Amino acid sequence: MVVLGVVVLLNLPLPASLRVKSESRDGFAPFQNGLSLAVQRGREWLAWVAEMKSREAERNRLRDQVAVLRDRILALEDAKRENEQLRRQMGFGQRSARRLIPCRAVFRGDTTGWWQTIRLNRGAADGIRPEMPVITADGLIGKTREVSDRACEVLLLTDPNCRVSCRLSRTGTFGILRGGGVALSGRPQIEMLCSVRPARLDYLPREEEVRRGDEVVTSGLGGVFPDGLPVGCVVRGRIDPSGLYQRADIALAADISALDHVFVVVGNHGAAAERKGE
Amino acid sequence: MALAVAAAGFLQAMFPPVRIFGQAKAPLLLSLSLYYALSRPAGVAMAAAFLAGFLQDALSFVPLGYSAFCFAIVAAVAGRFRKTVLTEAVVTPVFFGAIAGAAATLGLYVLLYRSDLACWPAGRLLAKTAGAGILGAACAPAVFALAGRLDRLVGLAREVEEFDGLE
Repeated sequence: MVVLGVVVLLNLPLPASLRVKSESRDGFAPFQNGLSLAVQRGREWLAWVAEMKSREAERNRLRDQVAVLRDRILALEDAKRENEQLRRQMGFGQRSARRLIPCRAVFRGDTTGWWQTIRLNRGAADGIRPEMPVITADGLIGKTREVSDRACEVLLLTDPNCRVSCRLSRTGTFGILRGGGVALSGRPQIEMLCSVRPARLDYLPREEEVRRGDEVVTSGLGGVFPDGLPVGCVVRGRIDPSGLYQRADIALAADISALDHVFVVVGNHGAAAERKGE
Repeated sequence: MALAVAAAGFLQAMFPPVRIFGQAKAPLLLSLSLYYALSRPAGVAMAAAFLAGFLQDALSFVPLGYSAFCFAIVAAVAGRFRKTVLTEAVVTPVFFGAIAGAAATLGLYVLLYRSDLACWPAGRLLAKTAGAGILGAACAPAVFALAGRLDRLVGLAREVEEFDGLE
């Protein structure tokens, strides 16, 4: 029976296999969410206890910051109004068709450790589909890969299997970014998933000047990632051992080691197509 | 058994991978299927291995059946020693956990590599295999103890003893 079961599993058609996985994952989702929430609350409580002393100073600092931000919001609202007015005058439509779905990372890594992933607490029921970009406030962190009704798996940028078409915003030079994986040695980290290897931007033309600190953004090519999402910055560039192209080490903008709340970008494909059309 | 497997899968998913061991994770599901292989008849052991493998695949990017296949082989091999080893002795789960952890990781890698799903440099693969062995040796005694306790709690341990002809 077991042998038959294994044979059936190994030969299941892909859609059926994905459906079985999706159902199993959904069965676990409520428990995972519950445990993740409990761990988060515990952490918050511990942090609250540990930071009792500095709370007063922090409150004052935040109060000042709120005042500054309030002022800035007013200025930005003014700028937005002006921007919209100018756009209307010039006949452009609404550019940003991006919708963000806020999610919480409930687990890090899959059960086997072969890939660098996180599991989010939202899924197809919330409008998430496979191959959608996932970002934080700092920049791109990866893309959704396997999506069930109430959860989804995100392949992180640090995984060598995750490849993204990018460009240097200063020169517009295109390249392919791939994760550097996790080194076996290096600075010890509490978050085991944290990548200590920079990502790599391959296939940059030999003749292009690549400077340290150059900003790297998504190129919009490939249909998964919209144009202009911040990815990171160049740490150093060098000629590939093959001698055919340059490659650059990239420090990612988002802190992959501390992922908690992230956003799935939906509706970007229309925007990308629109931009290409323009 | 199903409850124990579900709990092990849940905990395995929760524990972070260990960086210095090439991102290896604590093989709780494998340890549990080893426990059943060394303490139960072949049918039950294979069912546990199948269930544990299925769950591991369902909660990861591994295609369905790969882990079940590896766990079933490990369980079948371990089951051959069922009547010649003392499951209660600590050295048994340490030894079997180490061997099984490394073997299952290597076996799974071969399957993933053949499907173009994973291609790791030799050094990191070696670290992951060795790491899985070390984690297996560390986890298996705890899993054996907990699973044995659970069995005694629900009254299954006595049945096994009778089945093994120890009473």
